[in-house]
Amino acid sequence: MGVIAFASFCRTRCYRMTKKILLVEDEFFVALDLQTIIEDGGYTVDGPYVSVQEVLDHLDGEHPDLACAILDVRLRDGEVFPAAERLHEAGVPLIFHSGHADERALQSRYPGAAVCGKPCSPALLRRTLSMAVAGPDEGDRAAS
Amino acid sequence: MLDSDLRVRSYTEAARSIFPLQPSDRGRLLADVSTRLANTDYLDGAASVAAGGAAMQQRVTTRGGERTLSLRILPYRTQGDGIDGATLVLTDITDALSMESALAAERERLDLAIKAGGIGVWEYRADTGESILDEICRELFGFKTEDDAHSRLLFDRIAAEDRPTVELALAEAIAARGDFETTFRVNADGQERWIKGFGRVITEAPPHRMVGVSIDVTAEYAVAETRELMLREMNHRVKNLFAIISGIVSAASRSHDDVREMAEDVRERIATLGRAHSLASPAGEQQSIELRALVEATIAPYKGQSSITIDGPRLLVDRRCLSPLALILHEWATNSVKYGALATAHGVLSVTWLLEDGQLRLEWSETGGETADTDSAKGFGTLLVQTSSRQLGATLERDATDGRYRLRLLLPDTVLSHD
Repeated sequence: MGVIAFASFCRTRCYRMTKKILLVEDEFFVALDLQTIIEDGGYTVDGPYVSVQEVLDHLDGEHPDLACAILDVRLRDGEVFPAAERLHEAGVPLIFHSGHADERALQSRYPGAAVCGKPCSPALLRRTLSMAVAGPDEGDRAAS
Repeated sequence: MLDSDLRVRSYTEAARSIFPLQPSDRGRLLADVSTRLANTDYLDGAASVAAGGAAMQQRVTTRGGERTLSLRILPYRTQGDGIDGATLVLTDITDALSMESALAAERERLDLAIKAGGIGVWEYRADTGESILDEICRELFGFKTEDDAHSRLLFDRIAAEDRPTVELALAEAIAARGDFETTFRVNADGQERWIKGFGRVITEAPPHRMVGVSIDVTAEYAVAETRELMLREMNHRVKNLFAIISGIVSAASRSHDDVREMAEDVRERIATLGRAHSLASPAGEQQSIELRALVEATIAPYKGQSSITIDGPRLLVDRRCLSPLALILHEWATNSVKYGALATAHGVLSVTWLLEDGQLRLEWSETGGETADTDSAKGFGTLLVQTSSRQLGATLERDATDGRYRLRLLLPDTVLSHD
């Protein structure tokens, strides 16, 4: 099981040159900070998007190929969940970055999602990001 | 004791405190015996009783009025049921009387305190659900004087979400014969009120009752609520500042190679944020800041010999826009000090604003300096201005014509505060 997953993971990886990370954050200074962290990790940033509507429109229009999504929970026009739902269904790993997040509730709603409390340390975010992009099997293998 | 002629027959030791009798006084007429009492009415009384009149009781005082005594004059009965004189029984009731008046005074004080303190007094019987409220308590619960205030109706006045707590606390206090202490909301005449109730079960005589007091603590609750709101607000502000500073450090790290220079640049921005932040009321109630104050505070450190005019209508800026606005103004000011009007003695800077079509139009206009290049590099400052403008939802225009360098920021109505 683990081997098959690893193989498929390797194949996707070889086809994708730089991985794109969706960034949803309505505080531009926070976005600026996250953008630096993401780009320093060797990824490109898709965003930042500041509202749920913006993200939904973007997902509808462009069908972006995303390696992961970092989502602020509370946005100008409401909570990010409609967008999170879509991303989750599409199999995009989610990282919630929020000052008000209820970690357990989020993880039961989106199994496998990571939660980083705001303000998040850059090191923790980098680690969370690389784990999310590598996929859950990576973690399984490391544990066994 | 007196005989029928009202001569002293015998006396007790205690009687000597009123009648200073000597053994030799036995057989003397009472009328001839000196007394400490204020008057000698007792002589008439004794004569009447000795003559077969009814026993009598009166209150008498000593001459100075220091002591009050109860005097009873009883007939001295012989074995053959005849009357042979009278007995005077004196009881000092001074202490009892002063205790009574002390009690009355105490009660009066208590009444006064209860009234002044707005304390309502109530009584509740669990077995019948009957409740008795005093005037103040009725008012607290919004009952009119003539209204029936059965506990069933009392509970109706308590806010639905607090009702179970009050009922439980009452039941527990009654079961344990203990004290009841709960704070709850009451909807009285369409207005919400916080009431603190304290009660105690009185078990001296059945049926067991609970007697208690209620006070209006709405004001205290309002203060506590405001304080909590302020703390949350402060907490939010601090977190927000941390986020902005993190962003600034990130941005600086991209545009700087020299650590000293970067540290200096970052510290300048942190100082700007600090100055802007101190404009917002430390009490946290204030949600808005005057635009003029913000402009003045941001430019103040760069005021040299140049002439600066600041002009615009009185406008309040929403507190959430404080940091990005301050950062933009700061970048403009630092640029002006480096290249523009603030760099020279004959430079003129004018900062003006006005409301136009629901937009705030903030104009920064310099003459007398070098006109900075209009397509400025993607520097650190530029990045901060861009990020701040995006945060504000603002658009930025710049032009340099006829020796005048002009920056124009168009801000949406949302940056303004209307409270």
